[in-house]
Amino acid sequence: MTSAARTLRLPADEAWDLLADARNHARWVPLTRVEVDGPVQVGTRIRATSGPGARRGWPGIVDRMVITRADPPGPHRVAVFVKRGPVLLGEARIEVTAAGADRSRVLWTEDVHLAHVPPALGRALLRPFLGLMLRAALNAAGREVRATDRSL
Amino acid sequence: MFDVADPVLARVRAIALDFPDAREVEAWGRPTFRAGTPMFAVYGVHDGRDTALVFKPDPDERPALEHDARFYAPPYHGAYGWLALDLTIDGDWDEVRELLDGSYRQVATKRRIAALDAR
Repeated sequence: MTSAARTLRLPADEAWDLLADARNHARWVPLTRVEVDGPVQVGTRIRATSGPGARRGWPGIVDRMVITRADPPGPHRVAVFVKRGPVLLGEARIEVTAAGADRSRVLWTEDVHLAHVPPALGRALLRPFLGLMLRAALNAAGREVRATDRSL
Repeated sequence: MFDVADPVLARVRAIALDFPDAREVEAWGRPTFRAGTPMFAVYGVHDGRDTALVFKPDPDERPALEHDARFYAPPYHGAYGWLALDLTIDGDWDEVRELLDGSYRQVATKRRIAALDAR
């Protein structure tokens, strides 16, 4: 299991809208495009394509997910994305918890392995890459929030 | 109690001592970090978790940290509202910096916080 967490200067509902919507992840995860077939709710399917030309519409490594949990508004909300291959299996979990009225803490956890590879080996192979990816994504989200901070 | 060549301690030290007037003081056989006088971090927990960071969470952030299973109340300091996180050399040092920043702001004087904000 790999996770990264950051505190963002955003109210919890806005942080949820930003982080739980996988379309935004495409801005923060390098070389990746994301397509979704609906809003952030249970059953919505997500398709992430990664590769050198993925953002220009080229084919790449495809990661299919379905949302299996998307909590209603509240001080602590969880979204779960189950990965259905063909390359990655497992789940990603995004938790948004209010930290006062104007900040939130985001915890992004990935427990994934590779299809056709024993899960323990797949996890070990992915761990270094996933840690860097999650940190880079949350740092990018944080920069985006700071760049649009209206209180500064 | 602690190893002076510990690479995790070296990273913690580099981050902690970067705050205004921060200094390292050994106490209870552990490295502690002070904002002038008041303490904002301890390295190591007295139950054998030698690479843990003990810090004073921002009260607003505390509920979020309690939802994150990596954080725990350490012996002694936990009774005063401090939390601990086990660190590894390949861990998330941006998160550590953020936690230390929050802890520093809990204990530092207004003048030192202003100096930090002015950076």
